[in-house]
Amino acid sequence: MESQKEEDQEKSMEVLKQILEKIRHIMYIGRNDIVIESLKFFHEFIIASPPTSAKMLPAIFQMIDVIKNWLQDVRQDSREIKMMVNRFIPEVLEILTDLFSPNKYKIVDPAQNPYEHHLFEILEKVLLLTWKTKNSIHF
Amino acid sequence: MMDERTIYEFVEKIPVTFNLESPTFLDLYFNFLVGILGITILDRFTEIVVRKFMVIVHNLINNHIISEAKYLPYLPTILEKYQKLMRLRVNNEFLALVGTTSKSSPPIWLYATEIFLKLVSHTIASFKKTNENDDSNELSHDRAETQKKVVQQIVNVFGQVLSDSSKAAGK
Repeated sequence: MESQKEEDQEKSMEVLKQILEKIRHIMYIGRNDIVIESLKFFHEFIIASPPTSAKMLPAIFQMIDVIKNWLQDVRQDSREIKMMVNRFIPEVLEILTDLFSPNKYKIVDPAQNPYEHHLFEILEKVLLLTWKTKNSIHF
Repeated sequence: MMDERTIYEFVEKIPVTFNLESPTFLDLYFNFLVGILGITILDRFTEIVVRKFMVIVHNLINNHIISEAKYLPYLPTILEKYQKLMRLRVNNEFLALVGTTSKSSPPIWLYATEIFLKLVSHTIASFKKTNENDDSNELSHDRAETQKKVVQQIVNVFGQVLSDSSKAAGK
């Protein structure tokens, strides 16, 4: 009975990992609203159940890497950059708060892995992108 | 358009929102702040960011958001960055690329000088208070060394900046 339950849980985790993987791919190739919706989904995913997130830390931080790539690449046209700055960055800042604020951090990452560097790497990119955007586009 | 203040507020609130008790986190935070203070100013926008970060660092220290014990090890590097900013007055590359700022705000080197002076007066007062409050009458060796290093650096910064002023005045 107990082993059946564990097996079911493991299967569910596998499905969740696959969903996150798909979202990651969408973030890589998507544009406009699809990217923002994927990001929102990722955010909901983290805060919905921190103990579940704790079991998927590598997948979560792979997603964070995609966010970093997004902030780095200025591959979009001006309208897309504007949209990104307006909607992408605040969502990213909220994700960082949910991932790294002490009360949640300990639940999401009970082993307290040294993941904090992501926060500052992202902030640096956010700042860079904001002034790049200001330099390149006249709103 | 997104209000840039959101980002600056986020950075300023990091000591409150996140766990600065973790030495790794504290180290990352100060390295980040110092990194931004040290970026090469190539245009008005990078200049604005550096100005904002000067204020953030000043608020963290002077408003006691971070305790002296926590910021002291990073103070020499912070002062070094302020020195670099104050010396922009005689930096030809900066003057050629950015020049003086708009009439509504003082040049960045004056702005940096103002904040540097506030930081210095706060630091000296804070050292005095810490040393007086230390009942054992024996500061830890590390802290005493860092304090000495900071005071020496303050003297050096004054020397460098004053020598720049003489140059700028053609003396």
